Amino acid sequence: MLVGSTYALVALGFTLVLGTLDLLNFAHGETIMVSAYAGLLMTMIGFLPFPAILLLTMLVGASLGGIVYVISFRWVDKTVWTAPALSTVGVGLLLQTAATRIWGTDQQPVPDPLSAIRMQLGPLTISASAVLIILTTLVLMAGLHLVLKRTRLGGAIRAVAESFTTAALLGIPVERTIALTIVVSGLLAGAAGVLTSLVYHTVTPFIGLNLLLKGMTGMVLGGLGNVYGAMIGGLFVGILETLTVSYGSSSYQDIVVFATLILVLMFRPAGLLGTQIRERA
Amino acid sequence: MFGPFYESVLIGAGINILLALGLYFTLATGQFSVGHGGFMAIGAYTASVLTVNFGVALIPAVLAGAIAGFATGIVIGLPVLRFSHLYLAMATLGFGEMVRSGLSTTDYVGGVAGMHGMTGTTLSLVMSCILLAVVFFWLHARSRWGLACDAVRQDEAAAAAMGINVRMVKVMAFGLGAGITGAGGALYAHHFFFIEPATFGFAMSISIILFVIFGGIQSFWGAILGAVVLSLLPQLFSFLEGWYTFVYGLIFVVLMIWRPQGIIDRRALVWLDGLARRR
Repeated sequence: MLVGSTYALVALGFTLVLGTLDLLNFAHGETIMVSAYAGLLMTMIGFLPFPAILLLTMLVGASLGGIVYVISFRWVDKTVWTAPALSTVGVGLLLQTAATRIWGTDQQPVPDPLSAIRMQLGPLTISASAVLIILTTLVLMAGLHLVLKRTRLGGAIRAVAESFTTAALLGIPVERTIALTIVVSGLLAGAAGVLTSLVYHTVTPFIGLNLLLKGMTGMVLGGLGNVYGAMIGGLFVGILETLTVSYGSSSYQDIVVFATLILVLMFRPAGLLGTQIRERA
Repeated sequence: MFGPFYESVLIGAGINILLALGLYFTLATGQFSVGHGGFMAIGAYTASVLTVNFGVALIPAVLAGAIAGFATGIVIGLPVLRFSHLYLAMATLGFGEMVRSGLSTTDYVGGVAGMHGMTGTTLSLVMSCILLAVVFFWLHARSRWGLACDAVRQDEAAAAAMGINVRMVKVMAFGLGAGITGAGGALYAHHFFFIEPATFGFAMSISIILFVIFGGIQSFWGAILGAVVLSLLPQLFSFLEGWYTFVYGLIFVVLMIWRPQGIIDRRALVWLDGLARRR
């Protein structure tokens, strides 16, 4: 469940960009990784309360999202369909190398801000941070839902996802909406960074790719470009992974997840919730 | 002819050329793969198991690596190539990672620790493989089949309307590309004496992509140029040490902004051709 809720956040941010822009953002995983480090730094400084750390880290993620927008989208020729995606691969490499050089390749332990508090829930003992992780995820999901359905920005994002041209004809500032979409996705990545580091209690510069792949699998399971599907798919991948570890071996967890990804792509490319996005000509 | 150091550098560059040509063939039909590291791994492991555990000679082992790559390419290509680009990129990425984690859990080939004991790649062997591949591509570009690949890349619907079996063309190109990459992987294993699953992950797949994209995706000369330049660069910039991947990322970013079609495009080819004729 814990792992699943972070995967759900990863899948959310990823699918938001994919669904709106048809852009595979390969830098998404590294954005999460850098945010996790940023969160760790702020925790080390000490005096900040957890909600403040979470918010600041989300801002870090959002600004990275902004950078990705400018470098990989604004400046790149969108008529070559591979160009923006490959450019995000480049940005991902830049972030990862920078992280390795700055923080080293070793695992950094992440202190649990609420380690003292444990709760008794029937037969289960749940740590306070577990509750915190799930609550944060739920709040963010609800927040995203409200933004998408109730605000002008949400309407604009959904319109741009339907068609750039129609959206532009309706007077929606397309470029600005695209930029904001990537920034919102960065916000989610920032939150995912903090929560992931809490789940695993460690950070390395190499967590990005793994998270990206898991998030991607969650997204595909739920249906490409479908925000609600991504939430459910992410949770599902987390549960699948935990089940593999408890009933099989932890070394098989990755194989099971990727096999699921490929099988779903082969037999039910529309995902479990069944909306298929069209290729934009 | 050369000192052992330069010979080793040249062999490395030659192997990269083969890897790049393998991906180029897939791109030439307008398809895309983010999992070529996986095909390389299959070629490398097939050949290594044959030479180390069964005492097979290197050349048939490389051939077997190529065939294994080809077969996997066909099997993966048949279901996956129906998809649009986004699905294709994700499916191949998943495939590459699955091969990597699958090999990591297979004790027969050493698991995470990898395999060693392979030896014997020579410069002349690598060069003959490249020569074979270049002759093949040169003939291919001038054949009906090459035209069919071009047509499929430009417009699948129009190609199908002209009576081209689009699916067949795409799957064959994917499979043959995977086969060439498999041969490259086999040579790689027997050049570096040691392979481990982590070598063939996402990082390998994207460096193969970078070779092809850097040189240009409109002609196989681009793939060759990209592989040569990017294999020799680390020798020139060895002072960068750990920042090398940073430069790699930078190349990606700058290239996509400045010249998304790569260094050599059709116009550059025409220009080079004219230059050659004037002499």
